[in-house]
Amino acid sequence: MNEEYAVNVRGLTVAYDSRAVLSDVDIDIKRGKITAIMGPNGAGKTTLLKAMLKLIPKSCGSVIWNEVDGRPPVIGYVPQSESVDWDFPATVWDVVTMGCYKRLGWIKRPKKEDRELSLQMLKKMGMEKCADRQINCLSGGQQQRAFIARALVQQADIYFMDEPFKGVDVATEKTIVELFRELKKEGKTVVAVHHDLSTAADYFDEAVLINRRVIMQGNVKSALTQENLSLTYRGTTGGEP
Amino acid sequence: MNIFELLCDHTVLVVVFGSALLGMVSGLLGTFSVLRRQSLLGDGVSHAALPGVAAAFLLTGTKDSGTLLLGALLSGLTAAGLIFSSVKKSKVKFDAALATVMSSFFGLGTVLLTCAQKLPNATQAGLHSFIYGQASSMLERDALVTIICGGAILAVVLLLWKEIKVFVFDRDFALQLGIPCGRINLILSFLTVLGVIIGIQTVGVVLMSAMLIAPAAAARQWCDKLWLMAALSALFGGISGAAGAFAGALAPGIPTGPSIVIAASALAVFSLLFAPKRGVLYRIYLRHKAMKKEESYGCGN
Repeated sequence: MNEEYAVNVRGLTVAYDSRAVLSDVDIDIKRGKITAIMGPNGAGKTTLLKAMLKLIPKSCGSVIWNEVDGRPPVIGYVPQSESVDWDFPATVWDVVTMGCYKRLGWIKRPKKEDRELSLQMLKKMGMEKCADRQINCLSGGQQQRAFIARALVQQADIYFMDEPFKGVDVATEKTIVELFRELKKEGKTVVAVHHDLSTAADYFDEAVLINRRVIMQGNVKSALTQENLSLTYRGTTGGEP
Repeated sequence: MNIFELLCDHTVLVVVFGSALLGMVSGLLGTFSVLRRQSLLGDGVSHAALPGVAAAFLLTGTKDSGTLLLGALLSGLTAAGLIFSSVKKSKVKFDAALATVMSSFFGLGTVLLTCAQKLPNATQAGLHSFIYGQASSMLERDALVTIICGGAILAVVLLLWKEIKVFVFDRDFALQLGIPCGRINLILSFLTVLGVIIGIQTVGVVLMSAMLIAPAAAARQWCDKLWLMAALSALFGGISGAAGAFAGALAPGIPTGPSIVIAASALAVFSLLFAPKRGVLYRIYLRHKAMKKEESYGCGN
């Protein structure tokens, strides 16, 4: 479409068992900006991310990925850390190198440059000392760092992160915020599900408020008004439409 | 017979070798079953293989094990397909679908088996050995089938190692990487069914699932790398297979299948208790140490 947006979502509807979780969602994600997806529990934030990434089927609508330097964009993904069983027999290194599996062909093992890249990303997340550590003895913050390092190894143009700040310590939160700034400087696009209203304006450029449909999107300061927030979060305890 | 004579006996060697190989194959496959929390899939498939065996005999009248196992494979695959599709298409949970399919197939198998017993040549066919297994009847041909199937299973696992690893650990991430998770799931399930089917003649449909789960559960206790767990699990399975087959040969009358399962279970229990870091005893020791520390702080005050 154009240079301004990394991805355009048009009329996206996702339904589980004929019950619409997201209906008629139009979103434009600005290229090179840090965008927060915000909304109450059950608003469909994770569903939105997954539907955009084609991890779950959509009922209708389209997701248009705009080219980067004349090629389709590479996408990096950080799932919610509690979506996996951390008692899986693997080390941090095993998890992080999974980020380069797409570039490798069948049977091929990570090459020297893949290993160097993995180490570099571990260092970036302050995790190089944990490389040989079992993933079942990581703290919540370390789990998140490992997952983010894995996404960085994907060397993406757009990063999707599902609640990167959930259950992390202060130091990890700071590391992630610094990473956001660094990625932005490199011209990358970041989309993250975020919960904390008090930090949103500091950490993000743009915000998309959703509750089964888009309530508001735009510059984070103009979007997070009292009026928009009450529209987004009203009557949400039961998650009823 | 003493042990030395046993070691020179060709028939015994075939049985021991075949059982060990079988144990290795199921140990390898069990690693993924256990990590995917689908430990009982093997149980369902093995029970569901029984009507296939009986139907193959009723239809062809042959007791050729190849034909019977083909029947078992078809009915095992049908059961696995039914379990997965009912989970996907309806709101039935995996365990409920599995229990229903497993018991109804096993019931059907028992009925068909009773019908088959009434046929004149049935008593010789040894159909009943499929229930509790009979390793001592293993022929070179059966061992060859195990070698071929086992080799194919190992080759596929090695070929798809990276894909399987990321799929089992983090399905969403695997999908996002562009790994065809549906196909990997199908392949893994097919391999599991195949591994179970080649084992039912030796270990029996009732106990076969232990051959998948026990070695893998034991292996998980000792290591923290997926490839190590798979290798150890195959090793434990192989040891159990050989040990059980030996016991059966050493003391005629001792059923081989159950002996194999007992050996595998003993390894699992030992590992659960004594493995460093994850073992029960080590954890008790840790708790004890922590309590002592607290007490000594108390004294200091």
